Amino acid sequence: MEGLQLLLSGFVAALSLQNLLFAFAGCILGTLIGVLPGLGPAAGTAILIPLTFHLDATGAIIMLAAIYYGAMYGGTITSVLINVPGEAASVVTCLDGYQMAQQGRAGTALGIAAIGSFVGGIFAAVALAIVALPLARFALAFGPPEFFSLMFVGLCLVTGLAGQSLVAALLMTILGLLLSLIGIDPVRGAPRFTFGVPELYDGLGFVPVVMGLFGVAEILLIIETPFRRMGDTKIKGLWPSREEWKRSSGAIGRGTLIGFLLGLIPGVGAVIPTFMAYIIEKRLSKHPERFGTGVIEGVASPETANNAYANGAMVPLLVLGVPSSPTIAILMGAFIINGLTPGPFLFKEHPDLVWTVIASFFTGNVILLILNLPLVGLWAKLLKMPYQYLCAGTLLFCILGAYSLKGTVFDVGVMLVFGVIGYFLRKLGMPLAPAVLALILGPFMEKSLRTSLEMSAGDFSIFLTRPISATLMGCAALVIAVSAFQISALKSLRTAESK
Amino acid sequence: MKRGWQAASVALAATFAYFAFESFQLSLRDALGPGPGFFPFWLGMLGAALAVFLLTQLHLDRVDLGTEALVFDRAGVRNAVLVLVGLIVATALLEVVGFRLSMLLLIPYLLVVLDVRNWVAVAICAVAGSFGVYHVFFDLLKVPLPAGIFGF
Repeated sequence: MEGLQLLLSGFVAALSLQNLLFAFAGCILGTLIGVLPGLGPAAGTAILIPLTFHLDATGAIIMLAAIYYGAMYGGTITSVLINVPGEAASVVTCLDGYQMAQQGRAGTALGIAAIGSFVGGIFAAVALAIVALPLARFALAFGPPEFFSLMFVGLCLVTGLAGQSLVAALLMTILGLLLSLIGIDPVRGAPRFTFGVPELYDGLGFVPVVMGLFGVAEILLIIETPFRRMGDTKIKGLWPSREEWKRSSGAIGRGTLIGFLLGLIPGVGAVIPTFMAYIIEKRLSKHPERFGTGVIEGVASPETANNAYANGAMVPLLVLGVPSSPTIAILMGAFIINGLTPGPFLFKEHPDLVWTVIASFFTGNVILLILNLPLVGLWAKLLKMPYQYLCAGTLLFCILGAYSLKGTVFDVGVMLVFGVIGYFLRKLGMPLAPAVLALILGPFMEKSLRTSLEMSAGDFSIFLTRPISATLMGCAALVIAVSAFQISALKSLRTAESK
Repeated sequence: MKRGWQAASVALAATFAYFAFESFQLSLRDALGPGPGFFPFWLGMLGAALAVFLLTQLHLDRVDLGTEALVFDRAGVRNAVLVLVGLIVATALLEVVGFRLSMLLLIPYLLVVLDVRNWVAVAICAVAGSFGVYHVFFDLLKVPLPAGIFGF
């Protein structure tokens, strides 16, 4: 009941003209980012953080969250129209979405994607509002050992699910953690790894590093291999037929559930829920052979799962302070820039802000639906924009964003250095997600670890003698063991196949 | 791809070794418990050990790198390098000549490097991206941007 009251007061604030405008602007910018091939939600959110510097904290978070889920939807448009996913989670939508467009049903594909995204997003927002308060109250009982174990398990999940080599993912995690420790030691005040550079005393800026790794690196990759431009696909008839509605409703329901539940697990990322929703739909279908030829369920289920995941992933961020993907880590960075630390204490110390942000997920999803159905033709026109202008504009925004954070050229330099590093790491297929999550969690992890060890006079068994911490550590060990087993099984399978 | 991963492993091993060495110079423990060097030292050691392990695995062909080769498109890389050079120069000029002038030079440079030959569009983008963006961000959104030695 208390949760409902808080949510209602959140709605009052979220429905103010100012906050509606922030959500509206975020949805437009997010969809724009999603529509433009190459720029994913992580790069887009990082580049647009500077736009929110001079907003109040609530407005800034509302706008950035709207950019995030707007970008998640925007990626669908390119998947359907030109068979190029705007972001990784839309890869699976290409399979049937593009086929539908080839058959002259691009409008229906985009329409069902918008409706599915809306249903998934609203359900996830309702579920978030229900579970947030009890979960936050439970998490208030956490001490430093529990928080350390929680962040450790979060990093293990991200590392375990990151890619083809567990060792490479671990290396990226450690790199991110070490980079996060550059600057003045928060406990004793000693400078660490600063090379005597005063700008490094405050540490490496999260925003310039992420802008470099995602924004600049992405643009360098686009410049090296420019993407295709859109042909003249006609978009008409957004509303699905009765038969298509019938086939899509189950897919939307299942996609919602899969997306939300997987959003709760840090490290899963948006790709797995969309693929899982698609595979389950194919398995349940009476005609699985039709999947990939332009069936509407093949668009409805992954798109719904995608948006349900995007909103579900807010639960671990807001309630536990653990980001589940690079984009969510960037959102966490935005909280920190605004002087807020996501986690259970946020519900205690800033309930107005939290509930306004949660309520804004409802308004944002409504805005997204209103924007996407009638404006889909306009978004499609943007796809004809030559990539050169996109690259120049993005790089301009990167420089502007990196500079305006602290008003120093040093941060622009940091961004360029990490742009080059990100370019090479992505060319090699090294996973960046663990590095970004470690970069944001590093200082919190170190503080929790050191406080825990001070509490136990240096005894590491404190992490195993407290029940919650021990359970979380057990989960972490299990995750790493399962990931190692999966990678080794996959390797054996490929070796057997090659023989 | 293998060569690239080997090079990355060596670079990472060296980076982690540096972090471990530097952390060792700081105190690992003090009267209150773990010192400022404790966490980075053990992370650096673990990272260096893992990087050496990865290098060994790569040498023994025990890492599944897929079938994709590491391809660098020569013309594409040339453009990427030219863009990067432009960004470095613009960054160096940012506080000297100011945001507007440096962007007024950078944007046409980027567009020309990327083969845009529509000079009207280049001119419009240059003015919009320099003076236009400055007006929106500095004057309207109050985002601090450098003015430069010419005062504008």
